[in-house]
Amino acid sequence: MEMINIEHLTKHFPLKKNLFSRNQQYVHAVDDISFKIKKGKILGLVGESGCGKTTTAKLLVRLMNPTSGKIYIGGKDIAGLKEDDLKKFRKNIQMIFQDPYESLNPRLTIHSTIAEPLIAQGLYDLEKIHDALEVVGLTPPEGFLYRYPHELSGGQRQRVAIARALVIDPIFVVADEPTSMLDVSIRAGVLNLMLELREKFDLTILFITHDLAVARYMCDDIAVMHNGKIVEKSNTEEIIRNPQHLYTKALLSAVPIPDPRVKRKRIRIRGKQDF
Amino acid sequence: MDSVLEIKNLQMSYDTSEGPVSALDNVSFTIMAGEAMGLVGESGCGKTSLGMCIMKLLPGNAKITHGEIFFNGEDIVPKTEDEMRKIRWKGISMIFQAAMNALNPVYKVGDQIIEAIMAHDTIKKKEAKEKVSDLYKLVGIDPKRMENYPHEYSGGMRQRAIIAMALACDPKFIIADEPTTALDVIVQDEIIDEIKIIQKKLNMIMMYISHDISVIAETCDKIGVMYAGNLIEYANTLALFDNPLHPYTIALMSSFPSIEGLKTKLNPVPGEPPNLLNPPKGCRFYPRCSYTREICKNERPEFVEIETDHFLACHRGISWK
Repeated sequence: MEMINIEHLTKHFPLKKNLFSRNQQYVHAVDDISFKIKKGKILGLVGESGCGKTTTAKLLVRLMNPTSGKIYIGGKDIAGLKEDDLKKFRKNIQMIFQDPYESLNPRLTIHSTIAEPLIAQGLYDLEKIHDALEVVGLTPPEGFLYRYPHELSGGQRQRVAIARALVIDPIFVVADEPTSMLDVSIRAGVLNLMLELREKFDLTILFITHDLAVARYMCDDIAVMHNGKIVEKSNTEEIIRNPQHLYTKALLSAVPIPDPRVKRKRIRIRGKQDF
Repeated sequence: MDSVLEIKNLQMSYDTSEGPVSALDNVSFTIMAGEAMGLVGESGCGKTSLGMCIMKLLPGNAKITHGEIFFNGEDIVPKTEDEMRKIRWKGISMIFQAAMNALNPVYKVGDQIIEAIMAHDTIKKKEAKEKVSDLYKLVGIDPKRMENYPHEYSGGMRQRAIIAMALACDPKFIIADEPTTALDVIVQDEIIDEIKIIQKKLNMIMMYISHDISVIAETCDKIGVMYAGNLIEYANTLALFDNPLHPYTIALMSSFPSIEGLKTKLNPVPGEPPNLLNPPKGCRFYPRCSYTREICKNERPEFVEIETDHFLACHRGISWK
């Protein structure tokens, strides 16, 4: 069953109008993309900065309004939902942000941080907060409840952000570069945690990253994005072993390999080409 | 072969309101002529502090408490600021991390490099300009772009300009401090390639600082692994990858995903790096180590040559031999 079904999603940002120009011009940040994710699967969205990954993420959780297109989550189109309906639906979709140093409010305790989405949905329950902390490996929960973000390390903060996203039992999680700010030895722990949680709760995840090695480790399928378009989408190993699109090939050939014996063949592309 | 950089028992600390932070302790290594050495470790382990020690560009609250830094046979630790000025740029040069902040936004990029050359060499402005033009070609920017301001450059071009600037006075030794961290994969790859070629072409010695062991594996002849201010292992790249000895090095390698080979489960290192205000008394890694024994808690392991050109600071390694 397709949990997520995106059809022709598009987002245009208007450019500043020149005084004498007649036509409004637009940046095509996300340009007619379509993809599906099955229940319990992780789709990786990879690409360079500025290719539209984060805009896609914000559209899917409706932090931005799409210009056109459909966003079916669990069979329901949420692209056109407004105010009250949207707020109710928000409990199904959650987002984990890139920088755990900025995504947690420094003036809220861990307890208040995780309680916020529960209160917003009218579901507050201390037991749930305890469980969420335990699930992300912050044990014992009592030791963390009344601490502030500045008392925690980067890895612990990102675990709090994951607990906050999972505490209201979402069916779909969008993770926007959740480990790019973390150190290597901590990163592996957070990646493993996300894989465990996927198993445990049968979560459907859109995992956004610029790092193909991380994408390979995490994802069942990978979609490669370039200039607002998805240029290739396939099973992870298939993309890594047998890329079809020139841009995917170039991207793959630029990934450094932690083995001094392997010599890479580099494929170079120049400038902003249209593929 | 003559050794060009030799560091012996370097110790450095920062004075803070909560007491001294021991940022570097017991760091000793040698880089031979023409070699590129890679320095890996997590943030806060002292990689950049070590680079700044060698440049002697330390902030006011930092001091080198012990040890020697020999550059071409001369100890630079006791040198005064005026003497260091002559060594910087011409002798030792640095490619800085934040390409966005290392250029002055209100001067043309070319003029900034010309200024650096003229401050060190007595040559005419016209010659300096020609030199910058050559450097631009070397790092792969069109020399016409000398007339542009930093905001007119892309991130990758700025990083290239910074490399050109670091090379401006023909240094013998170059320190590259995470030169590609803020860049995209493809641009990162181009810059790494460029640095490697230039280093070999100009026959400089290089210290390449990075948290990414895969980048280091591709660029460097030797690798040093740092943990919490200690250099814990130092060996040739192949030797280190084939036969890593320190538990931290092993853990670091198995926590890196790769797009090559079989997909294996990553093993995170448990715990967090220690607080250097109050580092563990013995081995600084023992609270996170899976091979801990009694001796690790109380005695600091010496940094010794355990095999030819393979240095290690671990009690486990010594008892093996």
